[in-house]
Amino acid sequence: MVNIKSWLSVDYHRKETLAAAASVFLSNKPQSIQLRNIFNDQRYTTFIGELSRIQWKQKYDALTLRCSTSLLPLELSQFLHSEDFKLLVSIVTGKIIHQTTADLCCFGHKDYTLMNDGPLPNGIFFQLGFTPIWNDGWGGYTSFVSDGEQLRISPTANTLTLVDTSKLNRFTKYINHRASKSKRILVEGIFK
Amino acid sequence: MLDTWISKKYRSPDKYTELFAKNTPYEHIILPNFFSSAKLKLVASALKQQPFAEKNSDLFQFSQSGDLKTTRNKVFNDFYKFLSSKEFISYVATLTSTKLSKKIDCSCFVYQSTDYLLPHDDRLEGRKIAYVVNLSSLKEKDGGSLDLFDSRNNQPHTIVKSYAPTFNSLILFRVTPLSFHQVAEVVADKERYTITGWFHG
Repeated sequence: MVNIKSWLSVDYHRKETLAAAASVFLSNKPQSIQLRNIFNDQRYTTFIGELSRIQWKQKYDALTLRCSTSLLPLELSQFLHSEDFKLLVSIVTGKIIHQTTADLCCFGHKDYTLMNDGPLPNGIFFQLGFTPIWNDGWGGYTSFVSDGEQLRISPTANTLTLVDTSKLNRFTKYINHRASKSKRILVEGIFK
Repeated sequence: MLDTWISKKYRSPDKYTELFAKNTPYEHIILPNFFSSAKLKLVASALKQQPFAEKNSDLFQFSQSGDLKTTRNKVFNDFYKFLSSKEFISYVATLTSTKLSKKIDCSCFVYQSTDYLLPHDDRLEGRKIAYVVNLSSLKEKDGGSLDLFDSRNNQPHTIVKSYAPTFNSLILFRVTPLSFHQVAEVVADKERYTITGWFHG
């Protein structure tokens, strides 16, 4: 049993904070929110340590994506699949969450994902950011599209972003050489 | 018209038919110093005065002019008239052993540092032969090469040919479900200018 209070920043222990987040989520178009400093410092530092030791495996399917992936560290996986975390997402988004899919990804120079032929499956898309320094001019941001860009998630550190994916498609912008050796590390998936 | 625009050595297209057909990973050919150098220099010079619109999507980032069919610039107008002339379409039809119609598409493209075009096959209704007229030269290390992929299970697999842009080279390739190609990111502070389009059939 995971007690997520020991993972989250104190702010997110408070009902008032979550209620305010729910209000922002509902008012944004598309419905979305980015929760900053989601993990407390101790947990975040632990994650960064674990992520720095990960062995990445490159995935390349030229018409779809180029990136590196790895298995989620065990504790992070337990956190994402915990009932407490699903409850938090339910409170903020107003949706009942039954299941979670999550992938750990790393994007560097030349990496990208392209849009699918159809929109994303309905659900709540989430992204946990582990990238402290980034410049959108390098590419690498996540773009949500429906007749033009509707929302962009720039690489960030210690954030949880939630997006209602109804009728949206998504891609990760090709990362150009100006990123040099910088990497964008994130966990993303769908709550259904 | 061919005599005015094309270098002497290329005036018989049937000399190149076999090379086009045999090239791998799919039918294509690169013809260096193809056009009259003096004429193409005028085109390249006119290109720098063209208005370009930035294009940005998941698949690409570059700047593009409108279709040259509607240009008012005399130099482009002359070049477009040549590319879309019966004589030149017949030339390309012979070289590629392809039945072509009168229709061509023709636009100018400029790729600046960080611009790119990710792998795709170019297929769209009516497109038979793709062409690229290179109007600038970049070194291999500058990026901007036209990369051709071989395929496995009908998907692009590995880059097996890579052509750095060389001024006054013409590239032709057949558009098929397997004509996977990309333009590699330009990584130098240089500009890659081309006139690109398709012959339809």
